[in-house]
Amino acid sequence: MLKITNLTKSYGQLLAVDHIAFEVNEGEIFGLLGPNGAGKTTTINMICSLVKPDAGNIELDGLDMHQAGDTVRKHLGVVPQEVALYEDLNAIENLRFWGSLYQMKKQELKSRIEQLLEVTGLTERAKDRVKTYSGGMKRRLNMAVGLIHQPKLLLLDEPTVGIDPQARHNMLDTVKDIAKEGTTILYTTHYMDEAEMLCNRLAIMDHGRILAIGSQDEIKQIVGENRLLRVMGSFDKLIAESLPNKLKELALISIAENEVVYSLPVEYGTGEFLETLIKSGFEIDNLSINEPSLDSVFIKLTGRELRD
Amino acid sequence: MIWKLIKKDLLLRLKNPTGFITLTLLPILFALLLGMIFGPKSDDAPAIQISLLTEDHDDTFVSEFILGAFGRGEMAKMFQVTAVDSGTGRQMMDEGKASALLIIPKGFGDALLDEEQTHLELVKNPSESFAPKIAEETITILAEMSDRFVRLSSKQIRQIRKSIDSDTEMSDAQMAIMAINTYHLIKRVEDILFPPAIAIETADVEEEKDPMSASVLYIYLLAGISIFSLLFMMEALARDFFVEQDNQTAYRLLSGPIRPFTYVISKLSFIYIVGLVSYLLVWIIAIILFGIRLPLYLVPPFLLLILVLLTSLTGIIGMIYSLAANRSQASAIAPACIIFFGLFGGAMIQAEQLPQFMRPISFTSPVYWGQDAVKKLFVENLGIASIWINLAVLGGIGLLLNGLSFLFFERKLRA
Repeated sequence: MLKITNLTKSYGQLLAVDHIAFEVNEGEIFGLLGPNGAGKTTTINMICSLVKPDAGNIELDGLDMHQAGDTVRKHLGVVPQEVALYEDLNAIENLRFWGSLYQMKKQELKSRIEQLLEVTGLTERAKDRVKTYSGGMKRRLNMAVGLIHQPKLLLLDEPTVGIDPQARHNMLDTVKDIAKEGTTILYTTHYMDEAEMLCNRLAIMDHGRILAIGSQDEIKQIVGENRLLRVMGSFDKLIAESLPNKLKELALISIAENEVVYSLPVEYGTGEFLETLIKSGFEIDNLSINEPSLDSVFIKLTGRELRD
Repeated sequence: MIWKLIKKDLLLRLKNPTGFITLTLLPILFALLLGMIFGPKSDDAPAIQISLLTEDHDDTFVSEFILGAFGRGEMAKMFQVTAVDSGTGRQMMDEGKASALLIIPKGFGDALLDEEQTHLELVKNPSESFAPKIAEETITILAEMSDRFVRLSSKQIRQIRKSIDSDTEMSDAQMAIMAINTYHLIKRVEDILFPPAIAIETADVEEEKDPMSASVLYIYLLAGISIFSLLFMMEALARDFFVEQDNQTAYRLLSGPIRPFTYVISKLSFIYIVGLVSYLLVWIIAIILFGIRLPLYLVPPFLLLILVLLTSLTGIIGMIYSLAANRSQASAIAPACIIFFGLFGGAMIQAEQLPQFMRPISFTSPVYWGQDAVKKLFVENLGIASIWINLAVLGGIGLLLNGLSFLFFERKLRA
């Protein structure tokens, strides 16, 4: 459905998006996973033509964004990171206004509003001004606005940032419900658990580049059945680099001044590893063990955790 | 699409009507205030009108002569005379419904004709100071005039009375002699009685258009201040650019089917429409309440002027907001620019009174061109030909500034 090829954008010296390419298939939830500043929002902004790419192509159902921008945009639903609503209007007035921009017929708009209020659980408060809503309710209405015109592709840009756990849980349930109805979703997040819970396929982004792409299983294969062991403290760098020679199953992932990351197959215990570290003169301040997960993939790919 | 965005802006404003209405009424309040302070007043209305009640118990031609005097000429303008029944007058006076009550007692006419002592009774309203005094003075003069006339014509009057009392008809010869005597009498005293000793001469001279007559002064002030206050009002509406930017709705609009051009034109159109309505109301109020007049044939040029003027004012506001990086920057720059345009445009001090070296700056201000055109239409009643330059300059400013603000806004919104 959505095909991105060679998409590039730079701001002065900063290469915000670096020749990325991916495809989103119809009916799936595709995740763009990466830390803040990875280039996710810039990518979204280019897809909805708010930002002009320096290079590359964006196609939706075979329509090129450059040539048929207006048509493409009509089939996109955008849910920005921040709540983007008119807070002095109520939910119905907001939905009616946003729907009217897509030339929806009156009756069609009315029934769609009722349907979305139902899906987002806002029917009871539909006539209250948005400014009286809780953060979670605003987020749900924010999403409903993005869906009002039944877009082919919904772009959700970190929709759960800054909301409490319960509201976040409700939000994720709503996203799943929307996907079940057949809406294709491009979902950006920096939360591993959200990506794991929601996405059929995903791309891991960092510093404007896509580091890995595929289904969750495919991506987890990058680390294989390995644990990631992250050691923080003081150590001799040469000894740390030569440690895999002493313990054959151990592989060095990354090394910095006070931090080193290794991978170790899950069938091997960590006791022998710890013993080897101590014997090698490591003064350990902290040790973290990551079971095979998207987080460990990210660490393997970037040498740091997603939250860093 | 533009109309949908304008409707939304209007709906949002009407959700908080107090602020919006206050804002829109700002120029109108100025018009009302200026009108009350400097507005022209009607020259026809008397400075004061005295309410006088009369009770005529005498009912003779003498009492009718006195009361009839109040209904003629200037006296009719000054006095509002109401004849009341016996007793009603006192009651009305007690209720403070009139300035004075004149009671002509029974036998007043006969006593006067018999040259006997008689009197008139005047009840004055103690809560009023000037009106009862004027009534008293006027009645005293009338009483003296009646007395003098009766004394002078006593011979003729007695002859008529005698004829009435005896119920005998005067012969034609007697009537002719009395008529001749009366004629001579009137000829002798006409210099004193008709006209009065002090004649008031009135002459209609062609009204000279004093540049500072009340209505002209009002138009001068209104033309400048209304544009000036309109700029402030429009500036407050333009803050929506940053409100929508800050609450991300601009982002959402532009990531949907709205193009930056459509968005900017809708915002500027909203400012333009509200400004237009407000400015039209200013002049409607000035015309209805304060008697400002515009010949019918000048109405179309005036409406054209308003449309063009509003375009240039929208351009100024658009330009300021398209250049400002954020809301606080706009809030600092906008009032400074408006005061600059107002001051040099003649909203506060007439542009002609500015020092010579500052005068050229006036020509950069739409306030100057708008105000100048209003004066030409309202004060000098000149036709559209006289304001072509004003229209061209205002239109030019409007096109240039609106065009530039579209460019700057587009660049800003894309960034």
